[in-house]
Amino acid sequence: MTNIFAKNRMITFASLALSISLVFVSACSNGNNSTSGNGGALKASSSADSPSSSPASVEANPFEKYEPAIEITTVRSTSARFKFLDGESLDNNAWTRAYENELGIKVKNVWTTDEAQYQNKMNVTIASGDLPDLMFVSPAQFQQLLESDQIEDLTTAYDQYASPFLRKIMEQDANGLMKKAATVDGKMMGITGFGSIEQGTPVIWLRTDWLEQADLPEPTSFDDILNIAEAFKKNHSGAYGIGLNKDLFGGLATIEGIANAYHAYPKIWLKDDSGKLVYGSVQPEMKQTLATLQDMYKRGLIDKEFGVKDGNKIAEDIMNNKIGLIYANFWHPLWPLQEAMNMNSADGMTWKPYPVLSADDQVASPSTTIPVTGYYVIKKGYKHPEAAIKLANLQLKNAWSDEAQAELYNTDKDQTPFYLYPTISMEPPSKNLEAGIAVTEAYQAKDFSKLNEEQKGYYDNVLAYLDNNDIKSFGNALIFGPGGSEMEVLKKYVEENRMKIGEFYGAPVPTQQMKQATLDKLELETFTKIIVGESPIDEFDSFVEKWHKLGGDEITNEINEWNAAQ
Amino acid sequence: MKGLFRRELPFHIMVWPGLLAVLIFSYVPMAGVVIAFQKFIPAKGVFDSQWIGFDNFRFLFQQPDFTQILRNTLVIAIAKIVAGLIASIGFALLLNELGKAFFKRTIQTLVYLPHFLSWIILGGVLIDILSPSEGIVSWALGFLGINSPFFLGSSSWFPFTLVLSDVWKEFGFGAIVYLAALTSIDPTHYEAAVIDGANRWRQTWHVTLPGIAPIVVLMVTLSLGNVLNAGFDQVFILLSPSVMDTGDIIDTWVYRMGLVNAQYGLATAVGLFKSVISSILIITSFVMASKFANYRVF
Repeated sequence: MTNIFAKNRMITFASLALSISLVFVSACSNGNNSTSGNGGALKASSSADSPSSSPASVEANPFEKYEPAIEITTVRSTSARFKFLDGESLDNNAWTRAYENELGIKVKNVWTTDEAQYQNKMNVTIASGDLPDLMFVSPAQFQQLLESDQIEDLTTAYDQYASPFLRKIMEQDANGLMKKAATVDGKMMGITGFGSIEQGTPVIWLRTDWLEQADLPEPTSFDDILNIAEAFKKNHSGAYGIGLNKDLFGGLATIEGIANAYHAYPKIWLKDDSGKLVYGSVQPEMKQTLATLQDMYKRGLIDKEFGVKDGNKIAEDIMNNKIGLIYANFWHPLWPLQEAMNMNSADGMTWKPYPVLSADDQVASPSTTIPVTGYYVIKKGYKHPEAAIKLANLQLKNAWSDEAQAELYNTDKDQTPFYLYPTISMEPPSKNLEAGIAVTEAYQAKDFSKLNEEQKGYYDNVLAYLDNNDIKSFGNALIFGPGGSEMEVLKKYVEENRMKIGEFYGAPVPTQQMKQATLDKLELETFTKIIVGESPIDEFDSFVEKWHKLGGDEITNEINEWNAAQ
Repeated sequence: MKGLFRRELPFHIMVWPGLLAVLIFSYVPMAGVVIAFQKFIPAKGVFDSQWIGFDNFRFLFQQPDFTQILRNTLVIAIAKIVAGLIASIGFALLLNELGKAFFKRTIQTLVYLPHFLSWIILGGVLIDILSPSEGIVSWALGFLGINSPFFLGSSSWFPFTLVLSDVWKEFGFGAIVYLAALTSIDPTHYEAAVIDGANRWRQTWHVTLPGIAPIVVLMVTLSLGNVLNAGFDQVFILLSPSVMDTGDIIDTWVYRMGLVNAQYGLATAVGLFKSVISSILIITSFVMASKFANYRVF
């Protein structure tokens, strides 16, 4: 019952790649309106900005069955996580049978490839011009397909067939950004693949056994964090105060949460006082963050060798009792903390999550981004564009609604991952947070009758860990249970409306495509040299100057143009 | 004439499938270099992407860090070629002096084993053994009273570490060619030298080295094509932000540009740039080799 979390390690890389790529996602560029505009044969109602009130079309049955059955071709990425029951395959399983029996849609996979190769193969497929009817594409590919007018307008299909559940996700969850991200010039050009906003936030993970040993109170400010780091380093030979990853951003042991303490929001685009989108890493607050990090390095709170240590090395250090304090994400109990617990729980290792803390009297806001992972799009000219909407309707109904049959469509008791099979796979962005709240309430009331199948699995983990001290259930228990990261941290972030959400989610703007790599290198190199003290802190000012000169100004302008067009 | 054709027919039948494969898989794809002159967009393909002339090259040369990257590439690649050559030849000569065949074979096998290890694995190993605080290398240096430098984290030591670890990994494998050349030297030359009163050192100088000279020239000639290849996988695995100024090479730059940012046109332009430089160097060295060492490849 680990569902999306089963891919622990992959997430390390994925989240890194994502955090890099997410910053430059785009839906619309102004230069090509004429071409993509002409192609969209279907009506582009001017009221599409408030879609629920769009009067243009009549609502139809979201699960209407095709008679006779139709065929839709698609392409898929697979991975080692895909496992099937005997005799089943991606072409024949509970989901394909449901599609055919309930909707009259026969899904045909033209090709499948390992997820590592999927983007490349998709690029080749796009270059060859031989597109399948339905495909999942990256934001950059979405942009290309739009420019070359190769995908179908889904506005009418969506207005007519979207189920209430799909509408809720697209239009209400995450402030309606999912629909907005897929809407270009008033037309809905795809179904957005989406993660959860709150899950991108930094979370502090602290070794509470060390904290007790040091006889320190729980941290309530960033100064407390510094004191704790100092104590950890002093009390444990070979230990560092705080873990730090050489990549600095995105994942395990990174600096976003430390920057948040100083109200700096590196790597994301936020509005300044004048309402203009600006890049967080070049704002003055970042200088204070780097000064603190430099000081921490000088005091030996940070590993002198962090410059060569990636996430896997950090994980080793955690397992070897060298790190008891990290800024990471809500899911890190699954990896590497679970493995660390397997090795060290006998010696008393325990962990607890905390929200990011402020260095002054203002509350710290955790930074995150809008997690657009890609788009499901329909090839231009395909006769039944509404089939995509119906596939999404059915997947949401069978997997996540009140009528969901988890045994059949999610995972069975042998952990066969049925949830990986759907042709279009979505989940409510707040699914995990809701699970965390429900599981915790159920645990406190000792009553799991209200839980769905997935939540029941987490409930069992919580019970096993808290009541029976089953270490193997630690990971899920520390996410979904009482005192877990969903309840203790993410719920607070959401309820107190504390998150600073990066507002740019389009495909890379033209100058980013050419210059982002250079600017990223400059940023990482400068920050690293400042932290290790090779460059003085004032080097930050010349970095900001260089950043603007080497393309930052153009990127800022283009991103603001993009924003104006939204 | 007819007799000649009949005689050669089997050879033609044998050679044509190979030639065809080379044509299809090596020459036809070369047409793809045209995207170096395009703003290539996969959705539009080779035919509809916009032609932009030399803009990709201009952009490359205008990069603020281009000279630095080119310098790093040259320094690391040339140092690897020279050090690798010396180590391989030296090792082959020493091994050749050993008498016992079993001993010789065992050493040879042990020494070329690292060649088969992936840099992904070696990268992790190197980070551990070169760690200044707890690595075995720093412990050994400390035993000698030397303070261990931060091999992988200091800009000045990083290229040195790259070259040394690459030589360590590859010299055993490189020595195989020279060992083969050594066995092909006519033993009567040694007998003649001994009769002339030559000692071991003289024999090496006057018989062994001239005997393997053509192979050495050939290897040098071939390796000149690599002066812009500093070894992507090794550098990529070991590179970190603090050593970017001496460790970032053309290939890692292309990776960030071409794969991470999907600038295929630009990445192809860099590839073409590298190929042109390499071809020039190889042709030059062929000419030099035939002129000075009287060695002809063709």
